[in-house]
Amino acid sequence: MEVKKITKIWLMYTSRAAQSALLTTWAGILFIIGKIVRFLLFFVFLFAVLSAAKNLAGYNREQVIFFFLIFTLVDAMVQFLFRGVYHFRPLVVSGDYDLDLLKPLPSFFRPIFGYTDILDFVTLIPLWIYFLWFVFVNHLFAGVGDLILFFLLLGNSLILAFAFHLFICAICVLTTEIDHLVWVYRDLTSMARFPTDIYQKFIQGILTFTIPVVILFTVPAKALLGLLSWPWIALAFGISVLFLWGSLKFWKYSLKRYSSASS
Amino acid sequence: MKKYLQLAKITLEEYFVYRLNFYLWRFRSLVTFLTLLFFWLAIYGNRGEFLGYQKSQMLTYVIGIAFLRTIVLGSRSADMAMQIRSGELTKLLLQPIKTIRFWFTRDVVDKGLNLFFTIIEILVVLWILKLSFYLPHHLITYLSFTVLSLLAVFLYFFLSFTLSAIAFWTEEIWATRWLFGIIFLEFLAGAFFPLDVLPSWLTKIIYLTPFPYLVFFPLKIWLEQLTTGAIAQAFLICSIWLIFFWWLAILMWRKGSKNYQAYGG
Amino acid sequence: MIEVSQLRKFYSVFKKEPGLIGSFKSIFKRRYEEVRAVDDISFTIEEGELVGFIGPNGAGKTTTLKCLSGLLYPDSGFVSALGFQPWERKPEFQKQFALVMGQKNQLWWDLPPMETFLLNKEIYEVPQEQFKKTLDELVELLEVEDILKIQVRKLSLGQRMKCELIAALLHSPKVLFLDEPTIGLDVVMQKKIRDFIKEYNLRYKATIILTSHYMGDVKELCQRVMIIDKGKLVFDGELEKIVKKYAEHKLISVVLNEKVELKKLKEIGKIKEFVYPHVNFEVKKQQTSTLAAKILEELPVADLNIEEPPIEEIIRDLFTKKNYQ
Repeated sequence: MEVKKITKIWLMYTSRAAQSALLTTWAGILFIIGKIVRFLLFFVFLFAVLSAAKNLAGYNREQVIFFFLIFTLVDAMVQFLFRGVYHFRPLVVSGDYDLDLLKPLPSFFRPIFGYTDILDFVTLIPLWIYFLWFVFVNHLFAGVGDLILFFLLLGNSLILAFAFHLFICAICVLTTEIDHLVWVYRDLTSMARFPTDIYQKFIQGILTFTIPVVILFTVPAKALLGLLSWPWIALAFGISVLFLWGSLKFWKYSLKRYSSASS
Repeated sequence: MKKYLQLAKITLEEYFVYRLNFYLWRFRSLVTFLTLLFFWLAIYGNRGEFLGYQKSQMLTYVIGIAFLRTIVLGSRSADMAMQIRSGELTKLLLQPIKTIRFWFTRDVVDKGLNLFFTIIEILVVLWILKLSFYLPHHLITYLSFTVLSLLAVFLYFFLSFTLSAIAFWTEEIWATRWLFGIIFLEFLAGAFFPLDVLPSWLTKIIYLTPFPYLVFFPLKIWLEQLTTGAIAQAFLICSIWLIFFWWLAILMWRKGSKNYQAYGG
Repeated sequence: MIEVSQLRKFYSVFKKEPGLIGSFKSIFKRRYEEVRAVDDISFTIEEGELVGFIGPNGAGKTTTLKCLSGLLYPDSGFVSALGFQPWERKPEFQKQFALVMGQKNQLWWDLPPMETFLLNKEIYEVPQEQFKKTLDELVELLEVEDILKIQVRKLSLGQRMKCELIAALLHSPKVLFLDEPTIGLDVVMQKKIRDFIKEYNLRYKATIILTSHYMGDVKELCQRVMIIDKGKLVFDGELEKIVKKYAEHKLISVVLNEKVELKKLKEIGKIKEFVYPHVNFEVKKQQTSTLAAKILEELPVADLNIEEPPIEEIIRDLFTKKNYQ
């Protein structure tokens, strides 16, 4: 019952966001073009460099591109689902968020899910198709077990990303200074465009335990390749649970401290 | 002159107020720098040479990117687009301070402050990772590098200014700037990888655009990989583009501010 | 119905010295100041009441409303509305009240109001029939049939305010918190909104709490008024009582039969206004009858009236002098 209501409301929000977006069609189209161009340019770059170098931290060209595809895929899904965060700050600063807080909906609903972009969804489909084709053609997965584990860990990544976006929303409520924080998240996650093994151990540590980029991207990728050991799987789920719990607590705390823009 | 000093002071103060933003900006620059650095380190692995670049040269290139990004790229005139859209520009237009100089002053402060920190970060990274840095052997190199970099600073400033002025005519300014910034600058300026790893038919075209002169060519000069003739050609094309965008920026500014209707209010 | 006991809500704001040195210092140490927005306020409101909160800017009226609606977490004290603790934000509670703030919008800017109405219908789980009935009633009361399909950004402020009210009332709330509902509206629109609020209170027996800077709102709508100043509740009672309690002066307005010299008028009493044939005297409350008698004796009077000063003036004096005793 609840789920049905929430889903319906989410679709209504998405539809309204799309209607609003249609009024600025140019921007939407430019963004899509930009994303596609950037993806292709990077793809070409990786292809060219790896063709000459043949090896990056022990991975061959196909594997390196595979890591890049995983990154793009997960990143696209996260952006699709949690785009509301990018529109949250104006809501808080203007004080209009007050009116959302008083509605019988989960308090984080509008901040995170309130602005899903249809265009993101449109780009996800060809991306998934290409990704699956690429994986099968290059025999990049070791077995069905790995495939199942991959999808489980993918779901885990989404939960983890949700927790992190909730954390960002909490910071926004407390300080309204989130623009750079979101970009920090984006920059750190974009380190995962390359297999994270290329970074020094210290940096990899940071990327596992602070903003868990490794868990978000590298872990599902390695699972599909059959390279993941049990401790890592446990760590992946453990960190998600921890982050989710922590974010929810922090979010509740931030609402208590919410001072609301004065009229 | 005094009012520009005051402006510089206020700009600097803003950084203190929005200090969190500033730290995060520094952090982001560092992350971008390190990502690239580690990539190339991993690619080189144990070999000394790849695609025509010695390891130390490639690493110098990457470090040079970090350095030049700060000086050349990155501009407060992006704020201008926001001001135009929000209607704040009206206030500014009413004040006796010339707009182009206004933005340039803010740029200088912005770049100065960031340069200071960039140099520290680069030195720390060099020291921790024990990397060798390529230093030019000839004095003329230092000179031409500096001159071309300065030209690049102005070129980028007017480029960015022109782009921001588009805000006078359209709402879609973010998308335009983003497309421009991410795509053209990142790749075509050589701010991501040295452009000559691309096939030569492609590079011939790219060298005709203004972008490579922002990062790629100054760094090639530094690495002493260009003939004198090539250097001269680089100067020439860069200057032509500079003059063009200078003219374009002023033109668009004049036209735009005449038709400006304060929006939003 | 609504019960507040010893409510306290404080804010911390930080102070920065001007100039570069000040900015530099602020990196290391920030000085915070405590603002006591709501400082020990207690009251009870019964069902169906229409109550006004008035007070100078920054007095704590809006903060109190926000605590009542559950937006803000009280630092101490007890708040209960409809049997719920507002801060817990239980959906059962949220479906029974509405908060409308004059300067904040819930309508989607680029879309027609109808889109927001439909969305709210789902969020508040209003059954289709009830939704239609309520919507029709509200639309009729507020006279907005024609504008429901026009983009919100193209509507005038008055039209937008009406639609904001509808959006807030679609779920037929029993309690209404209105924060500056008529701000920025022209006089015609203000009257329309006031009439609507009065009608809503009568028709649906809704409990309404209203904050406003316009005494016109308060005069017309509120039988009961609470004055809040510097976070404290300094008066709670009927509007007439404020006048009786705080008005220091009365006005004697006179219409003269014949011309009288200004000098003579000045000898009689303090003149507030003089445009022949009208003269207004200001007189201390206690001396009213004496002065009235004197006027009748010494001046050629065609008409004489003893009035209270306009309530705006009383309130203004009250807020500036702040002697609430």
